[in-house]
Amino acid sequence: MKKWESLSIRVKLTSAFLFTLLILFFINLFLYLNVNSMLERINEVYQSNSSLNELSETLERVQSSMEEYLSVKNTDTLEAYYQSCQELNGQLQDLNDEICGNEMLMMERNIRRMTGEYLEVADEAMQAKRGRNIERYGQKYEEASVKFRNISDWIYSLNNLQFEVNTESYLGLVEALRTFENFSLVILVLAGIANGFLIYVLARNITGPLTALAQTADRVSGGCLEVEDVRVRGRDEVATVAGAFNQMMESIRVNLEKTRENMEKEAAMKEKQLMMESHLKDAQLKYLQAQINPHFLFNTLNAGAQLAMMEGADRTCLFVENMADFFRYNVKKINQEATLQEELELVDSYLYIMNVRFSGEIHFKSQVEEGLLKVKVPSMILQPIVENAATYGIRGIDWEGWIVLTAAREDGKIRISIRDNGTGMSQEKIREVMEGRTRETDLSRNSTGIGLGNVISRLRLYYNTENVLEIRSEGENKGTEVLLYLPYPEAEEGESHV
Amino acid sequence: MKKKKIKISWAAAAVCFLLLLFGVTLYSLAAFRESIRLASHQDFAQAESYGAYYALISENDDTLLWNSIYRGAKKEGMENGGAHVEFFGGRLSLEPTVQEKLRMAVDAGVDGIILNWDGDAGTEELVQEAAKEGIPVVTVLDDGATDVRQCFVGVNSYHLGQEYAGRIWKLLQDMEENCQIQVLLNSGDTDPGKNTLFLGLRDTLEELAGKEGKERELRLDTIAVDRNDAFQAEEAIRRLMVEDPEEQKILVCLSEADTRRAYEAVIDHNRVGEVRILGYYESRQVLEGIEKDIIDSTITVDGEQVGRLCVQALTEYRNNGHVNAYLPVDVYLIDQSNVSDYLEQYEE
Repeated sequence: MKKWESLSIRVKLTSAFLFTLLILFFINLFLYLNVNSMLERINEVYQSNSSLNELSETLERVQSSMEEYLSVKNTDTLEAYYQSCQELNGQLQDLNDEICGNEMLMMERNIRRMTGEYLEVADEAMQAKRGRNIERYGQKYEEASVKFRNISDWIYSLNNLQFEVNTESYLGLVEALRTFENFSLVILVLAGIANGFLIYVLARNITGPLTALAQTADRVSGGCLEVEDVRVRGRDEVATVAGAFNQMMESIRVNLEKTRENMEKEAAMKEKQLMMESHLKDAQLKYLQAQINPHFLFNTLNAGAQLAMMEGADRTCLFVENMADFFRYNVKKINQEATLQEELELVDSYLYIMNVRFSGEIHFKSQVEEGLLKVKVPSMILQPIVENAATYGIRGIDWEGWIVLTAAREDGKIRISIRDNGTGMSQEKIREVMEGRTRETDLSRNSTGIGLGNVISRLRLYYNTENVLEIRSEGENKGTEVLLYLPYPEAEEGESHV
Repeated sequence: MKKKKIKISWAAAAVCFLLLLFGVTLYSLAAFRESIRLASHQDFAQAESYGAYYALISENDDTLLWNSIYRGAKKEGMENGGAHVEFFGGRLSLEPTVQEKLRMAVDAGVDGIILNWDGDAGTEELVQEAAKEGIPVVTVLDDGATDVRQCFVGVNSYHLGQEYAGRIWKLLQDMEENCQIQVLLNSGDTDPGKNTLFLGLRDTLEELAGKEGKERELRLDTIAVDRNDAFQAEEAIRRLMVEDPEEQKILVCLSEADTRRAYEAVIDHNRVGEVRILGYYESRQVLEGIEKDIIDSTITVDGEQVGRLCVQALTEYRNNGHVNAYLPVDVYLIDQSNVSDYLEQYEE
């Protein structure tokens, strides 16, 4: 059975047809052989009559050649006589010589024995003729003639008897042939039914899996993807197609799952972008609230700087220019990416302004690894941190305040540290800031308007990672260090991040 | 599970169908072979072999008596003698005479001959020739060539005469004083038995008459007919019926054929009751005659016993080189009292 299932459809179909063909062939062969044997029998029916006729003819030839010889003593007739005798002896050998219970066989025996006697007497007559013993050959001739008539009567009677029996046999055979015809018809009909049945079973066996496959495919085309695997035993073409179909269905299911996941991801990303934009808008709003019209302001400041230059007040001019730069950057970069260098320049401008405002209290030092200056980062991320350090860390301390900014590559990331030596932060405060629980409204009046929480949120959204910012403080008056861990854009080193 | 069941039932159906086909094919083959075998008479080869071949030769081989003798002989041969017995030349188209059959049997080299003696001189020559060839001859019912035949199986003629006489005497008691008793003999009969029978008949009748002590004229005559001429026998019987039409007669027939002829003649000439027939041997017609009281009675032998004794005699001779010269057989009188028993056998 397993071997059958492992065959290909072509072999299966060929085998099925060959098998049924063979059944029909053998049955036909069987019928043919039997009919043939019957026809042979029918042909043999009158064989015994034919043999007896031949025997009778030969006997007559012996008798006539003997008569001929006795009357003319011719060498040719003598030769014919001996030849006939030889022939007759040969034919006698075919007759029965056993004693048995069959009447016809016993008649054969009698004919054989009587003919033997006849030939002896005939020989004696011939010898007497050759010896010119007229009286004896005449007597023997008479004896032989009586025996000849007797034998002829026996042959004739046996022939009649055999003809009767043979005719009976013939009729019996014809009857048997008719019966056999009926049987043949029954056998052929049965074989036909059996073959049809066999072909049906085999075809069912072969096409059954194909039908199952077609039904499943139909359901799939109707939109139902949740179908069971098509189970096909064996290793034929249908099994191969069914296997491929099952695999295809599995692939479709996996692809659909992936697509669904991708769509979900895309939706999440869109949501993230929207949130980011919302934060930026929020920051921008804050700026707009803080500065009614930055363009007007930095244009005005530029006009102030020019005025100061014309009046020779260089320091005032520098101050006003820094302010103008600071506000221009705010207006220009608020929703764009900026290079790290631009961010540092903003920090410089901011601290210059702050130092002018607060009489140079803040010392700032920056150390940036070469190659990092061109790295693009979200804008307005360093200044708020520096502003935080200046506003909450350094202001109000009675020792010299300084802020150190370092940027270096570390473990494939850009590590930016903004450290101050100010009042420091409690762990509780750090946790609040990191969790975004500080209220933006807490911002002092000296603030530029963007809080640390905003920076953290934007960085997390931008880089899609939580660990982007760390605040360290060893305790009160021990300063604070804000660390940024920005992914280093390996593929586009020195160029913009995205 | 259900699918598997269906699959199994399909397979079972297929197997059953193939088995049915196979069975029908085998059955038809067997039936076909059997019908061919029957039609072809292949029993030739299965015919039983025997050690000896005995020829039964009689002039009348188509009577029931001879058929029963043949049956008895054949049965005995098959069962005890290892011999095949057949009516020699029974199938020949030209209906040969006893002598011709004897000639053929000698030529055919049979192992023994059971011969119903026909009383012909030529027959004796042939029996002698058979003896020369070493073929034993047993005569049956009618005897002849007593010096060359090995044995005679038949009725003791004198005893048979006595039996007839007893029956005639019984009939005579109810008949006229001058009743004529006619015995139908064959003219060319060399069988001394017939004469002995006549002697026995006459002696016994005279003895019975003497015993009674009264003088009664016994009109005992013989009619000689040539047995080879069937018409002559019939003519003689017809004459007997026509002659002395008023006289009561008792006709003793010494062959079954004569008995039948007499039976027909009595009816034809309306002499029923006037001519009483005593027959010899039996046939359906004879028995029917007795049943109708047209034939008074018949004396017969047990044919099968006769046949058996013939084969036993031949076998004994072949085995031992000698055999009793005479084996008597029992005789039975069939009259109205027991005819129905015999008729029953014929109906079988």
